Amino acid sequence: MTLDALLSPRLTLCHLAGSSKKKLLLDIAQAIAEQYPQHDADTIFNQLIARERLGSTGIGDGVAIPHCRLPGCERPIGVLCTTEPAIDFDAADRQPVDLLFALLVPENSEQEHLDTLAEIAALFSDSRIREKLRQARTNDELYALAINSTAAA
Amino acid sequence: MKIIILGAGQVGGSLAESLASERNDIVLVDSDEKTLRELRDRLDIGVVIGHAAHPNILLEAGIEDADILVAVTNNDETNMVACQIAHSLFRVPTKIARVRAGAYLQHPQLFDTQSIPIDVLISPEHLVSEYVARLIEHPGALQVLDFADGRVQLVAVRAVKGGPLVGRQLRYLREHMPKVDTRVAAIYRRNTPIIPQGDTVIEAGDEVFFIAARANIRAVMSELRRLEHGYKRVTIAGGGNIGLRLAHKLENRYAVKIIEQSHERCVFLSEELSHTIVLNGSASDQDLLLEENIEDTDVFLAVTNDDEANIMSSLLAKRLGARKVMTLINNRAYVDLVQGGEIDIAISPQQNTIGSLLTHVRRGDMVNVHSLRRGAAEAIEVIAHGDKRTSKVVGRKIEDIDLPEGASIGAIVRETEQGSEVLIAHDDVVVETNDHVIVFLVDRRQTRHVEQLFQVGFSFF
Repeated sequence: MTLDALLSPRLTLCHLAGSSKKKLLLDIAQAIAEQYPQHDADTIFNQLIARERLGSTGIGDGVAIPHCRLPGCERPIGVLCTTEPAIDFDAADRQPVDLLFALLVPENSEQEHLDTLAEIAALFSDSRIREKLRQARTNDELYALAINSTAAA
Repeated sequence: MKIIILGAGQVGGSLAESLASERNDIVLVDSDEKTLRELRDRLDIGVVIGHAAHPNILLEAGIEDADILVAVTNNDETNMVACQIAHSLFRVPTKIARVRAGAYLQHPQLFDTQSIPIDVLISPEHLVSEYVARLIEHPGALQVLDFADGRVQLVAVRAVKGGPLVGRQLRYLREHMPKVDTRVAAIYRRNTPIIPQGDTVIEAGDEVFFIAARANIRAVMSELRRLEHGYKRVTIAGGGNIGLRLAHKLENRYAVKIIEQSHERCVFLSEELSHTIVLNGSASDQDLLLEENIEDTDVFLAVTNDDEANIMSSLLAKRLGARKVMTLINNRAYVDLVQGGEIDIAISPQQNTIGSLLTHVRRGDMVNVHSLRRGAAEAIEVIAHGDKRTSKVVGRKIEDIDLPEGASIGAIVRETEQGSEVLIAHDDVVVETNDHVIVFLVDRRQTRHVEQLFQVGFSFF
């Protein structure tokens, strides 16, 4: 699955004013519920929080990829955001996070989700792409940069 | 993690102290400025003065960013309302509250997301009475802690000359009791922990912590000291909340007497209890104790809400011939003073409560956290998730798990189709996903390391 199938301009949020992991995940959950009214913000939030409790999805270098299954979800939903300032995410390298890709997936097809997750992680492992995304100033700019980065990669 | 604690009393204060040292962001809220100032000077925490349930005060404490709210003011209603507000206005993921009044606790359906959204209810009275009941079930034990709903227990016992294992190497236990499986998790010799090896020799006076299936506890204890007769007669001093709960729990299996000062309360107790003998009087009245044949009492439990009264009546009962005395003591300084002297066991409600709070504050899927030896050591039950790829524990033999120095796995409880199975941790046991793993930590500072060990890897869904 390519990034442009996962992402949408409305769920690309530049410079989210995050103050904590909890607040950020709540904002993401509410943004998704706004775009997809069939999903309830509380359920999304609780699923994301429950997954984080088992182990942080902060993968280092200021990047986090929070993900979980979502009951009733028919196709994967992605949210890309940058935060200002960076926030503590309990990441492996203890660095605060300012670049996030949240991924919500249907309850089946295990391997497919793992592949998607690996693709996203691979994208963020490129320091040039990370820097480019961090420099975006608007939602549209962030979206365009993300889509072009995958096309180039 | 950001944790807001409401109420800077005994429990709130000790919890803040215990958590502040674990890389957490703690804010303590109370209306009493003096207490807060004292705690802030001593600990690395934030404080907010004000009414603990008011939204503006909660905002000031940073509730929007809080992962956990712990409401332990001395007012049930404040605690409940604070949780409601934390949920409705701020979506705090984990809300823990102390609720004491039985009138509320009788209706568990009150406490769910649809009504009063409390994720974890803490009732110190309940915790203390469960704890005391377990001690009475295992005469001679200094501490008995439950894991996996009581299928596995961790027991602390003092080794006494005459026990078959005393003066021998630990590995002798296996030879001597081939059918009983147990694991010695730690030994404290003159208050210093020793990490047990097969060739460790048990000495008289050692405080031994061992883990075994509940059915085997008695057999293992008999290796460390001569077995005591089971208790038969129990006298409870104080007919308050805890006294009443205990009498309820014990009256069908033991001959129970309860001594209570208030006549009115005595009338109530006699209505509530069916087999217990209710005595109206003072537990420090020597004549009353003698008249009631205190010398035949197996266990004297002092559980009034007055530390000094509990200590004095316990000393008196012991002097007059009660076999064992157990004393409820709130003041932590007193616990150290009296434990191990005339008083056999000092029971600290805080230590019990703190453990049960820590369970929900820790990272990972914790089922139980027991704080031991005044908070220096810890025993935890954690569920292993993931598979060989995403977990550092699952799919591995116990000997290959990278535990920090001073931490050891004692047992595993596994759900199988035939029911749950208790596996005592030997080197070649392989951990499976969803296993309940019981870990003993001699040094609580290793907790963070153990938490990390059980965290799932990034690609876990």
